Amino acid sequence: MISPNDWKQQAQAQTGQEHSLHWLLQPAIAQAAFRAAELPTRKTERWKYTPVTALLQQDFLQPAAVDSIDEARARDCFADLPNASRIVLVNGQLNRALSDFSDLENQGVITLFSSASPEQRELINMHLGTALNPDKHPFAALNYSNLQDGLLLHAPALQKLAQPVYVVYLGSALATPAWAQTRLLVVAEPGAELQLIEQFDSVGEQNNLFHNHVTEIVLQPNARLQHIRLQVEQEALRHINGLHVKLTRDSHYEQHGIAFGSQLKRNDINVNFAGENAACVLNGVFLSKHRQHIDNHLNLEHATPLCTSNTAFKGFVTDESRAIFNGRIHIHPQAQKTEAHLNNRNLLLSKKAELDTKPELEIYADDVKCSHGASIGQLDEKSLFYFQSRGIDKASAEAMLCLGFVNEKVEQIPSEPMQLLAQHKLGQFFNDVEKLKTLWSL
Amino acid sequence: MSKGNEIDDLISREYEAGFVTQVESDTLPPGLNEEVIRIISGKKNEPEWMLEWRLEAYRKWQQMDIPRWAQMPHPEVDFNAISYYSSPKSKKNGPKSLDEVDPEVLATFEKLGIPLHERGKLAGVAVDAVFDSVSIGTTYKEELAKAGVIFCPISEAIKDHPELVRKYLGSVVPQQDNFYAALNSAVFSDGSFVYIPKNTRCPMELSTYFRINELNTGQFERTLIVADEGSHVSYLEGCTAPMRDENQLHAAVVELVALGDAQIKYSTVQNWYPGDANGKGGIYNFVTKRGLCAGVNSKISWTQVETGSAITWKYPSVVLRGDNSVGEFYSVALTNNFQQADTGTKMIHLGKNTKSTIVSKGISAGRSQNSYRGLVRISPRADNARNHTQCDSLLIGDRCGAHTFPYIEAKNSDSIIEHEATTSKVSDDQLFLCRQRGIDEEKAVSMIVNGFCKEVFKELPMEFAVEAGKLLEVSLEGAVG
Amino acid sequence: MLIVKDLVAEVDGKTILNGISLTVKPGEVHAIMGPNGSGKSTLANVLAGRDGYEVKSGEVIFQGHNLLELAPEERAREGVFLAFQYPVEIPGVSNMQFLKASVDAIRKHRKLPELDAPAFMKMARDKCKDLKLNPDFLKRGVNEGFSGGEKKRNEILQMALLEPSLCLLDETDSGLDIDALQVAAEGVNALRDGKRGFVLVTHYQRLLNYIVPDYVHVLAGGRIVKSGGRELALELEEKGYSWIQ
Repeated sequence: MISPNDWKQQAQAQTGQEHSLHWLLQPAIAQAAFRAAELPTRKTERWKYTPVTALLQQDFLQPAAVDSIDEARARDCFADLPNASRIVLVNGQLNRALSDFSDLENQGVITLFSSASPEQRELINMHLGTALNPDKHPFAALNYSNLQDGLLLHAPALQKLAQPVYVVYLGSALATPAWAQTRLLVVAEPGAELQLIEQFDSVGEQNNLFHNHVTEIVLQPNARLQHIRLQVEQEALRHINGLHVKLTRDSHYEQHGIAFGSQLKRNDINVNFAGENAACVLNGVFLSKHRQHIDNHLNLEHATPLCTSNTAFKGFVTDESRAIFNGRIHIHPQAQKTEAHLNNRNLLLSKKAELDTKPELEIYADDVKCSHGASIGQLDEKSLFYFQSRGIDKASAEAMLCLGFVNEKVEQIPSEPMQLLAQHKLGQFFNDVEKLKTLWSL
Repeated sequence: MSKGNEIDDLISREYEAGFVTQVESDTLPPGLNEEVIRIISGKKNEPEWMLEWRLEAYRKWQQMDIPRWAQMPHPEVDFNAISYYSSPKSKKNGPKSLDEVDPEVLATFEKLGIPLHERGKLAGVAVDAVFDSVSIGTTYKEELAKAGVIFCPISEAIKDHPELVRKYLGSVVPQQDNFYAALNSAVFSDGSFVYIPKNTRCPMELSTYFRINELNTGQFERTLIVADEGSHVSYLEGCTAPMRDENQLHAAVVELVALGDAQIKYSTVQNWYPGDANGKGGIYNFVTKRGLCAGVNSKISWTQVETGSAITWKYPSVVLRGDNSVGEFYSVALTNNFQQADTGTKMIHLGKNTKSTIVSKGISAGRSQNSYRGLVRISPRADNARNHTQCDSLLIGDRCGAHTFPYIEAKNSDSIIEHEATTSKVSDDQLFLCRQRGIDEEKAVSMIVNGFCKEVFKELPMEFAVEAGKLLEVSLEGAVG
Repeated sequence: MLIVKDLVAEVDGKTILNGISLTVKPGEVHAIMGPNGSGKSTLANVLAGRDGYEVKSGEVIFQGHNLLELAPEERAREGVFLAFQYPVEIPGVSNMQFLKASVDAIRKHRKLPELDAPAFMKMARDKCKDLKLNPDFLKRGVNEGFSGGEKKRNEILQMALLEPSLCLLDETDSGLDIDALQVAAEGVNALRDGKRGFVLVTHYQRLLNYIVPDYVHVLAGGRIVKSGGRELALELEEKGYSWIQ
């Protein structure tokens, strides 16, 4: 094991950008931020429940090699979205054979940073890093310090993209530990409308991968984005994920997420309100079993008046796993007439599991409507009894209620193929959760 | 908008307890070192073990850092500019009875509405009055003694009941618990000691009244309440201080121990000087309060009404060790002008079937900041634990802040925990309804705020619920406009 | 007792009342009718002095006072009572507490001695009985968790207790079933004593079957476009408002 400081210094030595990306402005800023940053310890409030020691135990400090991947197995992971533009990255590198997005690439909607036109370079420089404060997110700073390539999704003004954009990040079995650092920049021009699906998945067992990912989203006035996220990798993988959203006037962002725990999983979702009358809906469910760990950190920065946010996350925690939810609503003094609500409901099903939840309200404006709630509990006795009174045995009743708890979030996903994929993945997840395995197929 | 002007005029209303008593005092020069601790211990004729305990705490304190996590900006406290001991001078070595107390001091308490004679408004409530660093008298001693209840200054208990004090002092809040608790352990001057024997219901309310008078002194009282098996006690503390431009430090420690089937109800009406409308002066109230439900079926209930102090930093907590034990926390914290309050509770569930309830009402006005910070922890052994938390904030004006930071840690799958928080403001519609019925705006606001706090006030002993409501009214003056 | 002259008022810069004139003599009942958005409720709120309504011109004289110069609570103390269309909830403040504070303030203004608590409670309970309200109602928070009908009856209860000289009823009939409407109307009729003036704001004439007005005024576009007696309301019911405009 190496010390946080050594790890940081070695990571720092790896930073620098590909020569062909010399035009990018962000890496220099991120490098300065990462140099100044301290890697989180137990005393770092925002990492209180998630020690990164597991990460520091191994030497992830080089990019994963471009590996061959079993294409058939990789394709098994995909959702059945026949018309979607699919971009597939394997261990952080674009895999053209598995991808299918030439239409949008030709239209300039999807572009690799490495092949950006002069106009696109200007666009990337204008937006990259504007939704994200690298001083507060050391791993995002590391990500932008070490920019080999990136994806730009640029939705044109006043158009609705007919088909979803489907980005799949796959991890494959690696012989030695390595990292994959990926980033996606979404810029939706005024009045644009689109659906983005991100799937974080893996092929093969025994994974030595540390995935460090950043998605940055900028919605221009009146733009609308529907965002579906599945984080369903196998549990040996470590994954630190930052999602940073900037909402300008009248824009609308909606997210539906399903995330499984793993050896280390950390999700930061940071929404910055930067214009009046913007709206944000965050829907999510996180699940952990075995000895998994999952940490969800949500931060809603209401800096402008008349915006709304509605956040509802559920947690399903069992075996010896540990899950964390931290949801902060911060209302700035000028953000009058904000309406912000946040809710976190959890099922804690095992004596050896742990759940830590912390909803936070920080309010500096008076004419606002805010609330938060959190609960930790078990299955509702009354519902169990209702099932039993209809002749269903207790074990089955319990399993059905658990599934119902999770399934409520699955049913909200605004895409049928993604619902099917989510249910398939949940079936696999529940396969070795004692009470549930027989029932998922019902 | 027509409202408000007449209300602005009321801002100048003064803090009623802000007068200074002219009394000759015996005050140590400012500064802290081992010698000062020896002098404090010597002045109180303490036994050797007590001095050692203090010195141990002092050495630990020297190794500790000032806590900064609460993000409450305030000038650094210079611990060497504070005097750690001050007492009104008396002819003998401490007054033997109330008759020997300086009449000026007695008059002070009279003026504050705390009669030290056993009649009048608070008849039936036993009072221990602490003036700066010493207890100047305790009422109803004899009647309490008949029931076997010990209620006396802690300095007296150290001499008269050393076995009880040695057994329980520091058992709930260890010397090194936190920076201010360590400081208190080293220099605590006086405070109250209560022991309720087995199967005894304390025949009357007990109360301690704290008054800071001297300039540049800190107050470091220490309260220890032990309720033996099957006993029952209700205790109330009140506090005030003169208006001064300098900030003064108050770092108290309160420890409660409830043995099997015992119940302790501890109520606080905290009205330390909050500073003036520009944020000058006021008390820094850095207090550690914790109760231990040591036995089966025990119960500890904290009720606090916090309207005073420039800065309040306190988290009256309950460690629920006994099976079936119950912890409660009911709080109203009101901040106005430049006050800062960071208060809440910790409920540590260790035993089976333990239950806790948290009701916190925060009211922010002016430019103040008001935070609820709490922890609910369910340990792996605490089967069938229950917690319900309700945190509500009311904002009056758009320059203040209201915050909620609840930490919930569950390590037992038999537990059920619910937390809810809301934020609202006094709405124009509510004000208009009241005014249309002839009620003026100021009265309307105070009615609405009192209604908001009702759940907490109903937990206070009767006499004090009325006081608390009035206090709220005074503290809110000038808040609307 | 009430003289409104050429009253012009705006809300958010938009003119809602555009020159209203109306005279109410002691003992009279005036009904103000009109389609949605005609300014009926605005008139009631302007007379009660609600914030956000800006009087641009005209005058309102109430028993010799210039009403527009008075704060809402001063108008209330002078005897102007508004029964709200949507009574607001005040959690934690009991109805009894609220009513006592209100009655105390008004009695003090009228130089009447303060009622002691038992006398007040008896009075409040009696009034409750008249309005077929369970006395438990007094212990509950102001309008907290009340049904629509209970809220409206609570308004009438307050009116009965405060003994105003001018009662403004803003859509008191909305949301009430026929039984509740009758109870409310009885409450109002009980207060008709030949001296007290009433202004009823309503969209439908069915309330007027129970509280028979002396005059009916039709409001449209912020003006009184037609005035008449009781029969005007019946005509409106038959022909609808489009007939007027």
